[in-house]
Amino acid sequence: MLSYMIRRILLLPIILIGVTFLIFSVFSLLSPMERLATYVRDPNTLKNPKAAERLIAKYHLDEPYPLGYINWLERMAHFDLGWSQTANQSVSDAIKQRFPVTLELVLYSIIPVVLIGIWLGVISAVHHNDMIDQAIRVTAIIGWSLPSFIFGLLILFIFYGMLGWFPPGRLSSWAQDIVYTGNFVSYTHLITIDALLNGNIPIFLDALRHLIAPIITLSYISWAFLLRITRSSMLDTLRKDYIRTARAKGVDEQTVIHLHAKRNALIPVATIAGMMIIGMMGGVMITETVFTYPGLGFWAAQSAQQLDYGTVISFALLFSTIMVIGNLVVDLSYALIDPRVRLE
Amino acid sequence: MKFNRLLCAFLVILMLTCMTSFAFAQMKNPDTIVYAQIGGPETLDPHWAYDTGSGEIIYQTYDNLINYKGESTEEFVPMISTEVPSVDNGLMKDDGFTYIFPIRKDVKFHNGDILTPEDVEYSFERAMIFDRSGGPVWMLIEPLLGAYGIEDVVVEALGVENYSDLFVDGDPRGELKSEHKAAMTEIFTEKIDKAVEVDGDNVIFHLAQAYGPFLNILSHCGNWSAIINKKWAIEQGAWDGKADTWWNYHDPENEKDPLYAVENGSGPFVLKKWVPEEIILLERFDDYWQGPAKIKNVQVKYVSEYTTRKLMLQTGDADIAYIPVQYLSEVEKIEGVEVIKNLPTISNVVSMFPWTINAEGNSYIGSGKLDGEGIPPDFFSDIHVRKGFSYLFPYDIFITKVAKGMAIRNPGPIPKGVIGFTDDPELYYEFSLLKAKEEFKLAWDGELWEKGCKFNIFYNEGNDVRKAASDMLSQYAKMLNPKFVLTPVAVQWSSYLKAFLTEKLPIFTIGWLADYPDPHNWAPVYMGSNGDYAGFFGEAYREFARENVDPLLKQGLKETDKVKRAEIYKELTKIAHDQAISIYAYQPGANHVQRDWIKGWYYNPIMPGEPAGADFYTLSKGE
Repeated sequence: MLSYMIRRILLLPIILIGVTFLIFSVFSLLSPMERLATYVRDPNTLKNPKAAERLIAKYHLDEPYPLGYINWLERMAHFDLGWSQTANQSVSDAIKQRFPVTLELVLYSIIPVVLIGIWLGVISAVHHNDMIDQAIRVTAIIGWSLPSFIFGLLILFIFYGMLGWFPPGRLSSWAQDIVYTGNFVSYTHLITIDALLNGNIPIFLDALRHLIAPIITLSYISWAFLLRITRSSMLDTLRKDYIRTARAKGVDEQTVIHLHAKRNALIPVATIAGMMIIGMMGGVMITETVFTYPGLGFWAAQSAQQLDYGTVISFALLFSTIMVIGNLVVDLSYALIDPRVRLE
Repeated sequence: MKFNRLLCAFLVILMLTCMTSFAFAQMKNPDTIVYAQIGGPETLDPHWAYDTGSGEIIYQTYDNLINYKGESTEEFVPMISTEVPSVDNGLMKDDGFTYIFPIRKDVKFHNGDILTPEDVEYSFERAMIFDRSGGPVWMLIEPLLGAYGIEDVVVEALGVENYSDLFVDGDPRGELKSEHKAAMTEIFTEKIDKAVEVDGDNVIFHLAQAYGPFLNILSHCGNWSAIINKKWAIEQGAWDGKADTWWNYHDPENEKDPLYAVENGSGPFVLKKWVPEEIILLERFDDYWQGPAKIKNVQVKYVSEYTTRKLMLQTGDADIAYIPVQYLSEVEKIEGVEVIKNLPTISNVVSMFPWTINAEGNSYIGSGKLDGEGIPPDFFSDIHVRKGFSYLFPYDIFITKVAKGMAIRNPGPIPKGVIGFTDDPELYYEFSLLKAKEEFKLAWDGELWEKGCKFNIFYNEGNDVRKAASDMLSQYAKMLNPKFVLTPVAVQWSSYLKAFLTEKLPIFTIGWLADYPDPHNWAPVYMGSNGDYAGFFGEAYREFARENVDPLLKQGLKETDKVKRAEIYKELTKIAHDQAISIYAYQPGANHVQRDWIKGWYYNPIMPGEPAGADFYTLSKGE
């Protein structure tokens, strides 16, 4: 297994170079004047007829493609990711600021996604074609049919606008004042964890309160999908011969389902769940936008739209790394769940 | 099973609770004003900032020499200076070439340092040296050094073709060639240093040309003229104040600007924290020279989604919110929310006709000939074409339907509220298909009417107002003559900018928001041969402008008598009308939306902020 892991990790630099080379190539198709649009949001800032030329020279927008890529690689070697015009800060600072936001959102969302998705999938399969199964399936269809933007706004409207329970943003104003300027140490930049480490329970509860609405939005759409996969896999497993044998031998139904069927049914589910979680780490733009969660997703979308290629490339680097490592973790967990699997 | 039943019961209770409960807004955080805005600042460096987001914050944390008086855009009051220079008080001399500002004593910066005349001198000299590409400092360099940028001053003085020629490897951020060091030092000592000097308690500006709007440029609302702390700035790594190093601090890249994320002004608020694109936290500066602000804290939260901002306002989590004009009717219905509409802005939106279009590889003009399948590159050089389109635009319908009545017309480039604006009905083009037809029939010796024309009208993607303007023009043109095929096209900003800079756009609609409320910030833009927009109308227009417009612009700039200035700019408006240089579509109104417990808000159209700024110093929160 160790050699397998090392082989997979060694692939990472090759993948990263491939991804960045591709993105750089795409951006190089744009002319310097088109790339200037990242720095000029309004032509009235170009007071001087030479101003456009100066900006192009200043930001090396007319650098020939191979030279530009080599210079970029050189800066990468010094961990200089450049400046993000969309974030108005260095790319590395922007990632440090935004990554924990998305991570916190995703980590908390995983719990309902996995638990509810698998739980309801199992129930649905066990009560195949019953009323319960129909109800769960309808709920699931609504989940992945409903645009996340609409669902998010609905949640915001009901739980915040009407009830005032779950406000948008990461923290209330009073809590932000403490976290950003008071004696609050950010150890992990995950506010809930940091609040506990700072011994500040009111901030922990406030952060949790702000997380609930985006979690509901994010997880509903995701567990609906996982539910379908679990149901399908479970139905398949319940039809297997060994399950029939177990029943014939008089094993009680709960043991058949939870001890024999479920574990085998979850093998493909684990793979898909892992991929879903990795995908979520790429940023959940719509949820972040609706609930004012300034994470990776919204920033990445803005950067792509505004041709902030330094940010886009850095984001691609980050996400590729997450994908490679995440895939490796999924494969390893696959081997752990299924003893028949040997990682070669 | 039992768990399932419990879950169902919980969901039913939740549903019933939802149907019966409502969040009642109450005033929260009594010592904090929360402003839900869009678009955070790019920087906190007053000499870098040229966007509204930055200007809005710098306004609260820095002071300038003078300020506008309340809601006025024409009257000034002292700020860091103890007097506003005028001819009457003897502080404006030499026919407007010299301005003297006596500096107030005992003004503190946020770090406790006392503000001195040397800080004022440093602020302006640093600004001129810094002069980043695409930045605002041209507004200081134009009056003080008679150029648009410090690089132009250097290029002219040293007789080189490009500023970069002075540097090793042509890199202006690299090493200066040793043979140019003395000359570059002299640029500072003879030009920059002499433009601003300290004389006792006074700071004296020596202008390179008489400049009508000079006080506007120095006034609060212009972040480029904010007063920074010299000692502190040098400690941060900004220009060290020396004559023989200044080029090392000129036009740095964003990440190399030491003042980008820090502040140390003398304004009523101190920056506590800036989390880019998320939040700005300001705290009252208790040692502010005018007395502390009424409110202790301000939080500006950057919320991109309108619905979220609206709900924050509704629940009281936001006290003030940016609400786009198309949603005002929604928020008006919320109890406890005040909507102040149709505030006069100093901005306008104009559709422009380049007299010569760059035809090289230009698919936007079709065949490039007047054959019904395109237009020739000099299509708009014919005055009848321009007049035809000027009569074709449905101004009043546009204002009513698209701008929701929150706009007015301008006859020319100068908006209402600025010296030189005229309401002369003779200078307004009316919407008249009949007159449009008459003009088009005269255009191109009648060929245009017979053969028709075909070209694209551009607007940047996502801008619904400009889309509406383009659609209207297109529809009415077709209605008039089916052979007139104008196709509105939405393009990404990058493509729009490229086409604009390479002079390939046939008709383009764009807006202008005032840097300062003076006609010199308008007329040159829309009419000057080097104008920000008019400069891209092609050589035929530039030639016309050099002869007929530029002399008047120079005259208007140098004239210090307000009445005479007004007449000059009215004459320019008449030229704009007679030549139908552009379609002056509308001057938009602004709006301000706040909870009714916010007191003390006032409006000045030049105050930075979208859509209408706020001076947090005067705001308070109470029932």
